[in-house]
Amino acid sequence: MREVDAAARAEAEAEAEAGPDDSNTDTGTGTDTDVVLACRGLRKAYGDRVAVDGVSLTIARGETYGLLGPNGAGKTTTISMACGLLRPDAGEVTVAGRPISPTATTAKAAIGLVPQDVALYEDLSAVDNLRFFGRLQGLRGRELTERVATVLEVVGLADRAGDRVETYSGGMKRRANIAVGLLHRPQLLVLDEPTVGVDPQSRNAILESVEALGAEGLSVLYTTHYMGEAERLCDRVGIIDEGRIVAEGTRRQLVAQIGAGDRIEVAATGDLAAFATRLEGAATPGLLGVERRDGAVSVRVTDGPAAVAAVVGAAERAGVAISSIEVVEPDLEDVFLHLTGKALRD
Amino acid sequence: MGRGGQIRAGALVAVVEVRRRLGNRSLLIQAIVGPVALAAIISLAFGSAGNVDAEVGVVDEDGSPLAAAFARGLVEASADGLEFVAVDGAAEARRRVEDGDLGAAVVVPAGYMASLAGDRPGAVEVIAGDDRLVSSAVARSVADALTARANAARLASAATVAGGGATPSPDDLAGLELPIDIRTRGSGDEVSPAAYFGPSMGLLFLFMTAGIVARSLLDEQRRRILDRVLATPTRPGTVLAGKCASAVVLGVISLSTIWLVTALALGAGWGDPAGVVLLIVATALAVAGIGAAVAAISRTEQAAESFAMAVAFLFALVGGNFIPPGVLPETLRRLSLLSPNGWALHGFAELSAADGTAVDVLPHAAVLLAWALVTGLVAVRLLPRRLEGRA
Repeated sequence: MREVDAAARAEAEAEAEAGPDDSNTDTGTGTDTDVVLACRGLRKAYGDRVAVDGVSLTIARGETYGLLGPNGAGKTTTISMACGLLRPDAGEVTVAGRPISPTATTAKAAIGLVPQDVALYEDLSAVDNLRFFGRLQGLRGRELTERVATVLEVVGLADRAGDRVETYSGGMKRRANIAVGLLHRPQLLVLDEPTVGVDPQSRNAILESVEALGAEGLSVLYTTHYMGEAERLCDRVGIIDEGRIVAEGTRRQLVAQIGAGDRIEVAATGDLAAFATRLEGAATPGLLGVERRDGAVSVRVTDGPAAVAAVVGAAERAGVAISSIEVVEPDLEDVFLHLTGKALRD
Repeated sequence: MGRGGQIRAGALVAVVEVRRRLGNRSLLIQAIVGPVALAAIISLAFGSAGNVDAEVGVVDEDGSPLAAAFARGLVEASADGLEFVAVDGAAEARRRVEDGDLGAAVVVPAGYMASLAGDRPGAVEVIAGDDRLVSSAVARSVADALTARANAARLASAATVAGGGATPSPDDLAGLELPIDIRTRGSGDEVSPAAYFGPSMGLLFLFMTAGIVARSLLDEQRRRILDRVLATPTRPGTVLAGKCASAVVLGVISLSTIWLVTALALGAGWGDPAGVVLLIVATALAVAGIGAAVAAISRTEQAAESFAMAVAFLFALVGGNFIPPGVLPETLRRLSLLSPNGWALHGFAELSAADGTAVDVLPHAAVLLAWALVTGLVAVRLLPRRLEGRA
């Protein structure tokens, strides 16, 4: 362990000598082996326009973190700083405990970046692209050959590996794009809106791949403006708008933050007015409100599953015949709308 | 990744870039086929593909022994592709030049020899054809030579008188005449247009490809490939060095191919191979440096393309790519040295037309390397800052 520390220290010193701007220092997060990415107070402005304003986030080992926000919210700028592509105006980033900057090399080796666009040489084959980026990551010889073959199998492109990327379908290009990010077994996979412009079938394949990688323990930073993807994939979500993270947590924590509660949607026939009155008068657990529409009643409660029995009982007592009942939890769209006053846009 | 790793990464960037560019037909046309074709066409326009084709009339209206000896010497010095023809009178010479029968003519006016003894010596007249640049250049050179000889005679006469001697007779002055010295110099015995227009057109197109570095970087930036490369342990400066190295390799391949093709197909003698290689490498480095500087100050591929083309044509115009050697007035010749093209062309001319060696073109190579260094430093200073979002 002492040898490892000495080697790491020597490498960090060497990187610090590489340039006057390489003076970021590890402030201590680096000793926390459970944290793969730590961003603190990131700020980036282009002239008068502030793209990112004080963003802080951490990603633990094995965690899938979603950065959810509309186009132009600051997602790509944030991950550009997280990957050492952009130098922040303020704040710092550590990856696997090491400070990152455009000239830092060790920290970058821990990252696998999958840009939003298909960032491949389309006039070269998938194999040639993988070998090129693999070599830049320091892979050589048999290890490189084996890793190229492995990731091609993972993304299902082994049988077309020698073909030029320009001959691939859109979905195949996206998969090849992801393969490059996985090549060197990164500690953190950064995916920047990987499903934009992808057909539903390929989109599902990509989401399944990300789920599988997360299940294998890979840390993932996933940016998207699709609420459904964030809900499906991410352990925690940071909601970003106008360069600021306005809320962060698990889906349930975020929903709880806005106090919207669950909705129990009841489709029924009979005296729905009496049903509504009984719901309001009876001891419905956590009742927040009742709304009556044609042939249906919507009951807002703090905990939907816990209140279902009381709702069914009230219907029976009111002589109403229930044709369907559904508990609807508030989604991140609701959270975003509540926090920003605007909807996520496709 | 240490220094060795960065060097390997830079080499890898260069290899992939060269491989991709060589697979690109438009680049092959731009860098090799285009210049060779243009060099061939222009060479043919200047006469045979292999040699100068100049026909110059010589008019002796003076009739003095010096003028007669001079005209006779010129006619006797005629050689393949360079012919001097005795013509009776300036009017006849002017008519033949206008008819295209002669490329140009030199006229020694009546009383020219006698005027040398006076305070206002006469002037040798040159009748230049509008579109016969080589013949016109030869005629001017001949006139310059005769004027120099006349001045030498005047100086000798003045020295004799100052020493207490009598004024020399015209016959004595004619005796002072230096040997007629009309000869072609170069590799073997030819001064080939292709030997000039080969490198000239090669340089023109090579500078037009200076935008390759910029276009490549900006294209990869737009398509986020550059992000992906820079997200690896590869530093921005390494990527820039790799792109520049690829431009150097492509430049060397381009000019070397043009050298080979013009030598084999057009009979162009470029001169000392060591000197040619030295100039080719130095020129390719200068072009790569300029290309990197263009990349550093351009924000879009379109801007880079426009800027590179503007620079290429400006350098070509100033540097003399479109005009054969000897035709440029002295002022423009000096002006041409403000551009890297000018230095490269003068260097290639030194090798092909003056039997120069690699040592003779060391100054030219040094200036080209200085261009590479200065423009490269501009790029090293500005480009990484822009890629890192600091500029």
